[in-house]
Amino acid sequence: MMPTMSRGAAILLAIILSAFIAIGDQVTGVDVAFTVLYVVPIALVTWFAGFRHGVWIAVVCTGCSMLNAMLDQRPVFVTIWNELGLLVLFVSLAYLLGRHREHLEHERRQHRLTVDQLRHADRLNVIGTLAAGVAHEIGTPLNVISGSAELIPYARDPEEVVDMANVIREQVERIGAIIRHLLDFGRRAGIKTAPLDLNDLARSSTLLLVPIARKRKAEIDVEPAISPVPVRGNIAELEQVISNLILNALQAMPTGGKVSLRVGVASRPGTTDDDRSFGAVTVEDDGVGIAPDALPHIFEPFFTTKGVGEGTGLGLSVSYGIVRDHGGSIEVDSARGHGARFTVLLPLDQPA
Amino acid sequence: MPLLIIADDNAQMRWLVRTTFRGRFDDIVEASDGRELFWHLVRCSHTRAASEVFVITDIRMPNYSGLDVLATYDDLAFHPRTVVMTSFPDRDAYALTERAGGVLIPKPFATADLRRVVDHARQRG
Repeated sequence: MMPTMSRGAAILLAIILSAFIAIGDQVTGVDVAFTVLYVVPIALVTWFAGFRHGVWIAVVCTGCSMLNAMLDQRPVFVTIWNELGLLVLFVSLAYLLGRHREHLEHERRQHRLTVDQLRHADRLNVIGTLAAGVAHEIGTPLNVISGSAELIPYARDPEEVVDMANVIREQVERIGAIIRHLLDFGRRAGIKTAPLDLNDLARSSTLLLVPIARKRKAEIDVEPAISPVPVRGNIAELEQVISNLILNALQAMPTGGKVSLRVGVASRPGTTDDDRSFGAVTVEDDGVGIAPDALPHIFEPFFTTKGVGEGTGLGLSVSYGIVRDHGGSIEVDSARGHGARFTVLLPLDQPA
Repeated sequence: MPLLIIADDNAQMRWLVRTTFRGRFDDIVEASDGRELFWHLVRCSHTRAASEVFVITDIRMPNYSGLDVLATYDDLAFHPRTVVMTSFPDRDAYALTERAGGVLIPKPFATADLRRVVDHARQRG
């Protein structure tokens, strides 16, 4: 840790300390133990205010020591010799400590610079992924729209014109959906919430996905909590989150498998909320898992580990936005080849 | 007998390219991902000369990207003329396309431009 005391406070404290030590030194009859104590104010000032100020305090301390020696009526030559030696010792101490302090400060600056550079690189990476995603997801339908419009004059029959118009309409809808998803991620406010039970949410989110799971030779196993788990939220949005996690789990098991859905109450150890309880829905699969280098990016818009045709890379980022707006969080635990576990944590709806 | 292989994960995009080149190729086949494109090329490498095959492919596709497939041309010893379409034409995309002897056209493009690029590549042989 680096200095937390202001320079003025450190100097003031050092002067007071020096005075106390000098008085103690005098009262106890110029004792060497008290002389050694002068290193404390010198070290204090050097550490908190730098070498230059440390030297000033060393001079003050030497002066105090010299005054004591003179009051003790010691021989002048011996006193001067001793005090000069003491001054050299104090200044050397301040110098060494000052160098150490500078070195630590340099290290801290380097560390901060490296962290800033890493953050910047990460931001650029996110923007790059975002740009590539937007370019692909919007560029292709735009191309289809402009191309279809160009081809209309060359249509062979009126039916083909209708087909082309339909293609244009579908692509416009696709672009609209992408933009809506992006806006959902970036700006979400004013959602209507109501009390709900996470057990009901888990069941309703699963209903529509059972046929899809069957088609993929997978099963969805719902394990509700013994008692209701009350939270406050927008049921449609939270259903979207859980359905999205189940769909991801199904897609992560190309040869089938089991998706487990568990409802319960959990805490968030290691965070500022570690003493709070949250309603938790855990979606776990035994699929391909997530690579460690992909894990920190899975909630970024357009980041996807699936093939381009299988997902836009917006599902998890939208889910993240929804849960965040509900005051909750999504936690992930996964290893390549060992499945993935997503836990949605939502604040419990405490009775008033 | 020139054959056109269109590879794009967007069905409407494939339809657009197919419609653009209707009547200009004897045969047109479609691939919805990189793997399908690769297997079309493997089949063609046994049945046709490379000069009789033309490929128009997207880059970002499931399974293998268009550029992954282009990188297999040397291993297949089959080098059909190729146009690569992409919405995100970065330096790597240009370099890899060029290395495989292809031409890159950024999306969105006018169908007339795509026709011109393809005609130019066909004339160049």
